[in-house]
Amino acid sequence: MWIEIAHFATIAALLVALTQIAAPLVGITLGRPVWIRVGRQAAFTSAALLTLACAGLILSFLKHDFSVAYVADHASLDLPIFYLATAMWGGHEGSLLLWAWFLSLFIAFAAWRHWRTHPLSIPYVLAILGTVLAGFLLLVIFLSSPFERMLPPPPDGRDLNPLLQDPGMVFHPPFLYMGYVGFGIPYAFAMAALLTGRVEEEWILATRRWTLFSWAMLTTGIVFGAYWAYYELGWGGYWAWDPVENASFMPWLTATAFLHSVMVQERRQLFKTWNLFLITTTFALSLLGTFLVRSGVLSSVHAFANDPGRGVYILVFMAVLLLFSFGLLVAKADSLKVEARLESPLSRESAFLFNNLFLLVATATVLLGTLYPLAIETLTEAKVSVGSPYYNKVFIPIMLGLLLLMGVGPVIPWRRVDRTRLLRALLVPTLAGIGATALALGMGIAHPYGVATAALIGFVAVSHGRDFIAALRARTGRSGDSILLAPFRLIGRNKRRYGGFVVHVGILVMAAGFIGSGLFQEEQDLLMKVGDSTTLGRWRLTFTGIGQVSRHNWDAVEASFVVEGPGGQLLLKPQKRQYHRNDMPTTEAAIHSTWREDLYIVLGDRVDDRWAIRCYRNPLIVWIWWGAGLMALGVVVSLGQGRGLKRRDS
Amino acid sequence: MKSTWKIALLATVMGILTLFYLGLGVDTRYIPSPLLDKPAFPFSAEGLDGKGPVVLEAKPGKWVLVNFWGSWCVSCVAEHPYLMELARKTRDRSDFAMIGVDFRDTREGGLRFLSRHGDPGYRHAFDPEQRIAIDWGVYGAPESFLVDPQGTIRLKRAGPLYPGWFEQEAMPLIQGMPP
Amino acid sequence: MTAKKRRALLLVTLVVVGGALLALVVTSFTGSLVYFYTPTEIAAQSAGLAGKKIRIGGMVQEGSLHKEPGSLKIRFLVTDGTTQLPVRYEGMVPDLFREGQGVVVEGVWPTEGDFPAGTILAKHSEDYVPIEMSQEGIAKSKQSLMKSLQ
Repeated sequence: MWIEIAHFATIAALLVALTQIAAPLVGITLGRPVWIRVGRQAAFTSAALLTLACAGLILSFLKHDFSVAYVADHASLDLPIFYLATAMWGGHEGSLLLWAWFLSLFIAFAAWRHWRTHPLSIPYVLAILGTVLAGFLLLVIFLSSPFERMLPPPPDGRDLNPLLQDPGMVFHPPFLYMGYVGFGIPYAFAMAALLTGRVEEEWILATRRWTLFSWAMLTTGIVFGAYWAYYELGWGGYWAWDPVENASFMPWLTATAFLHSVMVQERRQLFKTWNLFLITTTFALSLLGTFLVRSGVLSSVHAFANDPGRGVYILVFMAVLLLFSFGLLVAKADSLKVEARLESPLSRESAFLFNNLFLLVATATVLLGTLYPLAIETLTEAKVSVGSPYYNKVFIPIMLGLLLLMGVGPVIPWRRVDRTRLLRALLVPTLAGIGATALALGMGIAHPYGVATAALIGFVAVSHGRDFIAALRARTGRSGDSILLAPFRLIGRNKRRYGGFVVHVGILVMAAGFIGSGLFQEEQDLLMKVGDSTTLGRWRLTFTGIGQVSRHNWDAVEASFVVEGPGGQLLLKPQKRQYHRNDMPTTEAAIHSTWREDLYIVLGDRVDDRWAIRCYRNPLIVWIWWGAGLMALGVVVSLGQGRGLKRRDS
Repeated sequence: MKSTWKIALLATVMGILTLFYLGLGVDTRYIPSPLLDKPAFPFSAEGLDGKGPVVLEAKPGKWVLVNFWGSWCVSCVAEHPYLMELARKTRDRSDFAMIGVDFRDTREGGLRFLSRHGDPGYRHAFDPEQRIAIDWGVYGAPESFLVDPQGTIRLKRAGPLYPGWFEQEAMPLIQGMPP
Repeated sequence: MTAKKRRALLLVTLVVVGGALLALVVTSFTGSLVYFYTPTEIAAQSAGLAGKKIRIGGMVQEGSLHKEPGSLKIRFLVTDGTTQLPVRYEGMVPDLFREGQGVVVEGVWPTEGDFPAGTILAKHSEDYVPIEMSQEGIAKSKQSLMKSLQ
């Protein structure tokens, strides 16, 4: 019953989305604003209809309606209620519906928010986003429907893949999709700017918060994915550079480039075409991330081979959107007049330029590594894979380069700076960098990348800190604010700049985590019987027992380890879990986290009277999660600032 | 923007799209089945219906689709409507036949499955001890094999057959080699 | 420095940094490709592979898995139905590794002896139900059927 309501709501939403494409365009052609208003109402209506559709699908899950094929495939009677509700996006049919729902909500919000402020752009924005929405809904309704019935119903469902029964995986897709979808709004405004010929800074200012918000969502989504991989997959790492991860990382890289280069356009009216290119690419890569991963060209082809028509449709849809967007960009690019020029290699805009260069090379690196195996396999008979060594070799130098720019960029002025002033600004941070190097060497870090990262962290932290303190001094001197309130007042005065600082600090924390866990991980593979002990770093592990545990939807073999460490004794219990409805055993690592390092124990197979045990010492890994938290906080601060074109920010 | 850049940009976009187009049919994780192009193991087993043995001969003389299933398998329920449709569509063909193998199952369970989800009309071998399934290297359900008239396995599919499978994958082979 | 010189300097820096980055990408890339072979393909061209990192895919031959007592060392045959290839490995195997299952092993092709796998990737298909759950599956279905009838 509910599923039919959901199905009809989705079909209705498709019709409404088609209206949302046609009505505003008719309105512009005829010069009749009332038609444009129809488009706006359509946006609200489709958001409401798709909300109903999602609710219908979730209700079918909650009611264990296994006559719905999608429910039967992704849930079971045993599934806990939390996972039951979130199983809605456990498969690709449902997640496409979720995507479409987010898009419709964002369109409605944009139509409400920008209606008065951007009357010229809004018809185009509605039409373009309506097209994207209609494209998705066609896919959901005709080729990838979560609404199909399976009669007679099976008595119980196949259950959600046990690996997906984890909080990290529950939140990963929605955040990722909010990020992907969110970039659609700046993209649509960019296209509208090209179509109306108003390609000045207007579209960037209008969508600044959308961009920031989407970037934050994408960042959070990616980190949730990494967190899930770390806690659930049991291989001691969090990022494997597989095509699915890469697909979400590419738009993040171009979006980060975009976040920085729009500032150059705001302040110096430079990089106009470049910014249009970046946002179009970001959205294109977001679509690529959703489609090609979900449809399986890049990964397993299972879902895909079932229905080759779906692949062709997705490809045609992508082709139409990409050719329209990039074609429009190419056709209209010459109308962008750039009066200003880059003046000097020593200027903030040039720091942004290099930042963009590094990020673009990073994107190209991932794109190459992801597409090359597909190309080789398609064009020749050979099969090839590109492993993580490639990415690590390229990405560590790129990260170091970006850190260096991050230390310089915010503290040098626009246009140009003379050398003495620059040296004076960078002297103390450089000294701090040298200090950090000495500290790192003193702590026994020998790897050149480890030392370089430590040096750059010192450099960036001090360059940011000094800038903040200087501004603080000026402020307390001028206004006589109290020392306690002044920092908050200062941040409040320029949320955008200092929000950015917080994000940068988050990145520093994360960089420490990457390098610490990447270069200094220790691993032991052992066979232990009850009573055996081993030493790993500062920890002494004693295998004290093995037993059986059960929950309502799984049974597990559980090992007990008494671990003696600096903080006293603790008990860690890694498991090997067998979910009832699935043949795949899953590994539940036992993890003890401290700020210094994680102790990570995985239980393997039984070999005679002993058990295979793998344990890791992962230094600084929690810094990655904390860094991500700081980044999110920074964006929240930054979002607090409304629009303001000529606001001084240094 | 200089025209070289414009061309480079559009060429890159076109290149990637072309690659995806060409890549549509390629399964990057596909590993060829060990049994492909090997002679099938002939069998003669008790029928699920109890009406005498179900036989696959060494040289069947026509194309035979052998479908492994069990009443315990939810994906088999999903696949079943297509099998019914395929059986109906190919009933009059003299060059094509279907055989089901109900394995690791109880007779009661298998028969109830057919009465609940429909009887496609062809016969099923009953293989509770998985003798046939082990011979054929089946490690899950559903799994389907297409055997040619000379008794060679020409196609294997792990997982449900999809609507259109027969036309897209089986027909080209069948047309290329009349019995 | 004049404005013109500054611009020239900017351009030169850009080209140098960009060039260095591209060189980094290209050199890392060519060294990191791992080709995938089946045992039969290996048999045909093993001479040229020595010292190269490769992946080999197939099935773990039934009855070939040999565990060395008291250690994590194992030996097994990877087969594609025509050719078998002996592989040795030391360490914990993935959850899905077992005889008769698909497997991909990665390692450096040796000049002699068994293939020493550095990594084992077990393959599985989510799309269909593996046999092992059947008995339990039947019992479960019965239970829930009874529940839904009540």
